[in-house]
Amino acid sequence: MARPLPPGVSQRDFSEALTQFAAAVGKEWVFSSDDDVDLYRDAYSPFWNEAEERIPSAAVAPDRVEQVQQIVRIAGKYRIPLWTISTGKNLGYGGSAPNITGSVVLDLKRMNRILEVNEKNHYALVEPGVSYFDLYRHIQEKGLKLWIDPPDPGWGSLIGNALERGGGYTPMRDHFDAHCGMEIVLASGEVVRTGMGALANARTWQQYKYGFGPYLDGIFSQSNFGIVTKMGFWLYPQPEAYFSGTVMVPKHDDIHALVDTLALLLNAGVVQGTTSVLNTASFGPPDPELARIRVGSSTSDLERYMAQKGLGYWTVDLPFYGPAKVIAAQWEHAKEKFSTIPGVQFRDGASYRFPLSQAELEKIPNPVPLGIPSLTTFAIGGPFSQGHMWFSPIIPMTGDAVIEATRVFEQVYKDLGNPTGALPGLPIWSFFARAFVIIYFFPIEHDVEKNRRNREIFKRLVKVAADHGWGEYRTHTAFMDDIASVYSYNNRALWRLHETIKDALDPNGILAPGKNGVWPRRLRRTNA
Amino acid sequence: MTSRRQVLQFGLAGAALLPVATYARAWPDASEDVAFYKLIVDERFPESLALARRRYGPSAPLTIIRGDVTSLWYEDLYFVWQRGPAPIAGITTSQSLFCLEMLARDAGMEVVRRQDITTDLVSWSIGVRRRAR
Repeated sequence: MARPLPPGVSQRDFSEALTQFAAAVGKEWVFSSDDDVDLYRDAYSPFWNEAEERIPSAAVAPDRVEQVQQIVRIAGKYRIPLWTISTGKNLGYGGSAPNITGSVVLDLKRMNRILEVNEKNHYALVEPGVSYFDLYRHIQEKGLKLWIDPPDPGWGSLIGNALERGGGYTPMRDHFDAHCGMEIVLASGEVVRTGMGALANARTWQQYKYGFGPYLDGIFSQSNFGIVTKMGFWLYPQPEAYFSGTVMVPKHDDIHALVDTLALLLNAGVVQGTTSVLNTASFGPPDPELARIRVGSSTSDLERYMAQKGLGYWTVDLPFYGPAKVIAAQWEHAKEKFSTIPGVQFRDGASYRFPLSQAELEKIPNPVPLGIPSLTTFAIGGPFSQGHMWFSPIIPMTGDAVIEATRVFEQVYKDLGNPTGALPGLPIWSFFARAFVIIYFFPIEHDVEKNRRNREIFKRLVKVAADHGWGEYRTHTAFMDDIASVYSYNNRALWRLHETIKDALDPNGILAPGKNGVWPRRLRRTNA
Repeated sequence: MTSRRQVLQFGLAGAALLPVATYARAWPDASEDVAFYKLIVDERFPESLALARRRYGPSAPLTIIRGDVTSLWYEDLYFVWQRGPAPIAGITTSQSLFCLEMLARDAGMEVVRRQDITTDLVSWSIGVRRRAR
């Protein structure tokens, strides 16, 4: 099968570029056969087997920065778009497939060195191919008292996940915020280090973020302005203990006081890990009677039923990390604050002291909130599907916003006939400070019609969210332009600024064209 | 010729099947003419064990999971696959297979057989990529 060429590139130029890539990295690390390049297909593509499915032309796998520099210079010469991946596990957001068909995947998985782990100052410096499993194994083998903060699942890249602004569960849950210092290869091939790394003999590159002058790290996240080849991360000192407490409130309208108190505790640092607010009446444990009551019953009926069952209408789990005495005091303080809500109940949950023994570890159903990477998320049962994607709007951390967003999005599903497989009403997460994110699950199936339908629903949700002032924090390549278009304040001023930066840093438009709606000048009119 | 993709993860000059004797325990499957390093079943589904016993024999050493392949990979397959491709087989959910497929891919292997058994279970084997160049 003839592989697609990069847009606007002749076969002759492409072949020459591949030859030059091979000279740079070794021919065994340039992949152009179907057998090899098909491995970069998005396993969760919402365009599976459709003409719109984005397919690479080839892939190249360097193992050091100097090779990355050579590759971008070659790509620039022939105007070949490069799509950078780290471990290629960005499932639900595009996986390892590019944004435009014909791109060459720049696979950084071979750049998998753990360059430094500093136990005293609690940081690590890694390359893009280092997964959470890799760093965890390194720390365990060295006996270091450090925690990482893995997402679900743990096979992804620390750098890849942080650059996509992913989140986890421990106090270091905002992965981009937890980074300190990066090294970037620009489209020109030049290498830049940010923060204190810009000092020639930097001694605090992974300790002080800002360096001197403009702080540019953010522009390399969720962007196509450069290729990150090293990144520092702050790690969490192994805590003495962990405790989880559950708060249950009985009434629908208790959500306001529940969230207000939660926000206070989170913003004051009393609760430091990720929490999730759950409407137990809508999304609790399987209960046929509850399922029957949900249809056509009043809120009061639901409240009565949940009270009879000893369950709250709303619940939130609070994770505490730190010295045992301190977290015991924090839980007592939290209970005191929530006790202003009539009928509130509390339940003590899991409690651990660290380090855990192997026997203790084997009994933990989900170790991820304890800084232990896992694939357990795949063991959770659910509707049969060949994958998923996420609709994930950010909403204010208020009870009003929880009620409104839930109502608005459920109405969209109802208006569209409650399509099979799409699940409204999921927990509301505090992965990031000061705001909630709702994460809606969309199944992907190897069924063209079902995928088309789900894409329509997704786009409708994006528009409805924007109409209400809610934007997504991250998305699949299939929807990047849709979501970028709703960030339209002042005639798309921010995206016009992105384009100005893009044109300055990448005039040939070779780095991930169109990623998150940022198109290079030569492709802008036809795509944006 | 060995596919270049087979050596991507570990930078080996070439990949080869480990001899059966290298495995502490290896179970042959006559229908596939290969010996498997692991035979994996999901104990949440009794039919998974029953079907495995029927296919591989009552005394075949089975590796039991409950959907989660983390320990199997992290403590075992990770090290074995670093030395070279080691075929495995199982009767599990498609989600478990997906995880193993993605991990095996980095070791130069692929799903070589897949058969849906029920809405929950799939019978499969993972081996060396057959479409090697």
